[in-house]
Amino acid sequence: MSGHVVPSKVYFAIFATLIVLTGLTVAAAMVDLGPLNTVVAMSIACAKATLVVLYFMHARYGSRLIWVMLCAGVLWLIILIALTMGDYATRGWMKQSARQVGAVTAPRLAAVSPFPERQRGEDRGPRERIDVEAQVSGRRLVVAFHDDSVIGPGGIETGGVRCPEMFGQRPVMRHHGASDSFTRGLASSATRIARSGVARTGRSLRTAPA
Amino acid sequence: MPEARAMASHLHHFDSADQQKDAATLGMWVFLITEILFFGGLFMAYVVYRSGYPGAWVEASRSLDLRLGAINTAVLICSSLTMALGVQAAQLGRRKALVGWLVATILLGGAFLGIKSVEYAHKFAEHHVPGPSFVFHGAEARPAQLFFSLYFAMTGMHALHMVIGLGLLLNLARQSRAGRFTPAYYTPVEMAGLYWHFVDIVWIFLFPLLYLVGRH
Repeated sequence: MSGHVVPSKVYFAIFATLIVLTGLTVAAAMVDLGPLNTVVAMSIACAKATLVVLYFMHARYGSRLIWVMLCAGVLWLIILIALTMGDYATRGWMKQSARQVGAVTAPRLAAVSPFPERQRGEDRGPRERIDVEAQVSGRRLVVAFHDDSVIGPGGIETGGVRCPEMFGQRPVMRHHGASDSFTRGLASSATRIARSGVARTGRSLRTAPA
Repeated sequence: MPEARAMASHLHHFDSADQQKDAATLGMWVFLITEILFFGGLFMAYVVYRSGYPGAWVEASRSLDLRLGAINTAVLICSSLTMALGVQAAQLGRRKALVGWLVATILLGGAFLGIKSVEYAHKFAEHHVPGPSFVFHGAEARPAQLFFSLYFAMTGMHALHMVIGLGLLLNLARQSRAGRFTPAYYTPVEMAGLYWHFVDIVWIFLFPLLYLVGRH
């Protein structure tokens, strides 16, 4: 009548294992394993959860019906995550996510043209529109700045995207030569803009096949 | 006499006490499955936004107190052990041990919530609580707010479950002291145990997902 009685030493062994695994997951997080960090952390968490379910929750000694329930729960959780991420990964909803933004290479000045607003006879404001171009993960990235944009080694402030390190720094981008700071600034900004998700196709950020 | 006891130990719509216990256990597992999917929605949101803003996740995760998080993980695992030993004491009819393990579990659960409230207080002091006064010093402050929204939603929901669990355990400790549970009938203790372990499992996943992103 009184279900399966698990000996205390089994509980203590499981407890010790759980504590060791907790230490292990913290230690593993301190080592740079790239994308494997997440895999290791989740594997350890799954192992710990399995131990708790099997021994502390007595599933190991439970009926088949309990197992069916448990598997159903896990299965639906997998369906929830797999189908949702299937959508996110394949429909371009995260097109500008940092995952797809690799190294920004070969930035160069693409074009300098009169700033459109200027042509309406305004006295103040930017005079020139400056398109710069770079390769981002094998795609051509064109970022439009204007000559009031602040540029430096940390990035460029433009199009509503803030690059904090650059905030308030001058000189203003008037010389268009591809100086070192210009190159670094562009690379930094392009990455940041792409990551921020603020920039949208056709506005300050355009991507096209290289 | 054993027959009379067996008769009294189950309700009239069950064939036997064993069947009654199986039904309770199954019902509890079904409830826990709905809980998996309830938390699953939060985990889903986490996966979406973490893959969208991995940089912000690293920055924001590093601002959490890893030491307190790890200690809390250990505290919760300890409480799962004391809970399991409590169920065992109930199975063996050791009333005093049962009360003792339940009280230990309650104390450990309380310690967890205490440490969590210290962490929350830090977060409030640092203005890391999403909303108009949110301040985050990092390159990706805007998406970092998403991380903290999920941090508070997930740990908050977890803490709410802990509070409910503590209420259940307090009640059980009181009933145990009065001698309500016997080796023939201790289903409420076992069900509360299942719930408590489930809450532990949720934290087992929350800890690496919230505290251990980009620590190297």
